[in-house]
Amino acid sequence: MAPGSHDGEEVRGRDIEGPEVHASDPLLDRLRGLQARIAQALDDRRIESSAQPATLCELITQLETSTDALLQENQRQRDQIERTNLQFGELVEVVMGLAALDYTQRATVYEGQDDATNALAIGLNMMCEELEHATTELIHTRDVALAANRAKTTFLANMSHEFRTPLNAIIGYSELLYEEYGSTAQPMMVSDLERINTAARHLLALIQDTLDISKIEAEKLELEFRPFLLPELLDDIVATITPMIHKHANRLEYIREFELSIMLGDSTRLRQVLLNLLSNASKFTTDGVVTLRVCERVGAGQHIMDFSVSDTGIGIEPDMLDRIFEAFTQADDSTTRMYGGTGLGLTISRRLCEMMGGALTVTSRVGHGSTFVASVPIPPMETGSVAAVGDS
Amino acid sequence: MSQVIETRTELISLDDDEIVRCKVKQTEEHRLADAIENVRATAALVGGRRVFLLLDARTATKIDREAREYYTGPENAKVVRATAMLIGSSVGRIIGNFILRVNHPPFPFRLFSDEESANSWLRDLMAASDDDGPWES
Repeated sequence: MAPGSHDGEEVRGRDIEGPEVHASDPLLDRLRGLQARIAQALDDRRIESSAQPATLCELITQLETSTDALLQENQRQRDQIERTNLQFGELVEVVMGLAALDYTQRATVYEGQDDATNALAIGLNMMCEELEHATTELIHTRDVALAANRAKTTFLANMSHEFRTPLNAIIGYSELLYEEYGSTAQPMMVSDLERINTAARHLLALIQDTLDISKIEAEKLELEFRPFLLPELLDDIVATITPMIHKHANRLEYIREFELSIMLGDSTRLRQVLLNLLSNASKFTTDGVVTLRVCERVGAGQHIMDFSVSDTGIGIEPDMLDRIFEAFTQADDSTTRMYGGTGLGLTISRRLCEMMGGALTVTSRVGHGSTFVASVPIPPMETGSVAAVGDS
Repeated sequence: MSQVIETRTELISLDDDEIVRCKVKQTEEHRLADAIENVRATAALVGGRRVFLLLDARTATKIDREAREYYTGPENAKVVRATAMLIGSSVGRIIGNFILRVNHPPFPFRLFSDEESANSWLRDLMAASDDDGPWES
């Protein structure tokens, strides 16, 4: 506005304090001083009736210049506050992204913004870049590993099949030869036939274990839950394992503490677990006792069947108790040499128990023996299932 | 008398004391292409020798991941024996610490807020390398 275009009353009536600023602002103090001098000049004019237009115009010009400067400064501060708020909003977004594992967001670095805020934005952006890069690398590595694992599983499954076919032929023909010539052949030949048969069966078991673990790891092994007669299954297991128990001069005790007759579950896999535990107990015990104790209990609101296999054998060192469930691990390397086995049996057994919704635990004392407990929940059966078992 | 090469992001000079000084210009962002250009310019300036470098990053603002990786990778290690990085703000400190802790340069790398201390550190390293013979590892 041009100087001198206002009369005294207009100047007096203007809101020269303008937008809110800090009380100790020097610019505002000067403006207030100017306001007081103008008021004084107007009062003097009125009292003395002698106008001094030049002085008044000069004061008004000064007042307008100061007011413009103040308004500009206020605007600059408002812009700064707005930009700071905007940047802090972005920084919060980036931090929230980091907390949610989203590393794709970036904060803007504003020219003229204060150093600390820009440093914060740059630091967060660099962290996001590194994390995004590392995550991409990890995902790629995981995908490669998964693909390799799938290829391994397929290879193992194919190779297992290819191995099993000739092995079954070796087992079959060695048994055939034994039946045909067992009574008439020389003792050396009978012994050789038995060795061929034993070695082939052992190799078949190894292949079966390898196939099982690869299926479990690939999550391709599915359980078949059907009702079955539990006492019959246990009797069958006892009959199967008895020769091995006697072979190591052990005695088998079978303690039955349950009323249940029909159980819903995968009888094949349960049988596999119990035979594995019993054969281990027998293998690591000589001239001792192997006990199979089966009892029913209620825990965590469901019925659970505990299959406990105890022995009076060599026991397991405390620091090995967890490791024995890892694949290809036995208590130590000499165990494999002395007792044989792949080191896969307990891994498979624990994983099968977990797949059944249960657990496989162990307690042991070196020199006194071990106790393995396979705890398996008993799912409720639908009406009609009992009849189905009876019919079958 | 020093020789100077100017790239998009830096002014690179080889001074009489055999220290290469790179002054970061106030540019928008240091990218991989800039890092390659600067390393090549340094190599050209020193004629294939490995040198002690003072990086004046007091006006640096942004440097992307690929550029950081290149500056701390094998290509730069072929040219640089040690780097003293001059920083003058929180932004510089953040960038410098990040390079030091995350990218792990394969050569001595230290942050300085004062130029004389940076020069002194580089001169000490040069003297030590003279005592030990050529420092090529």
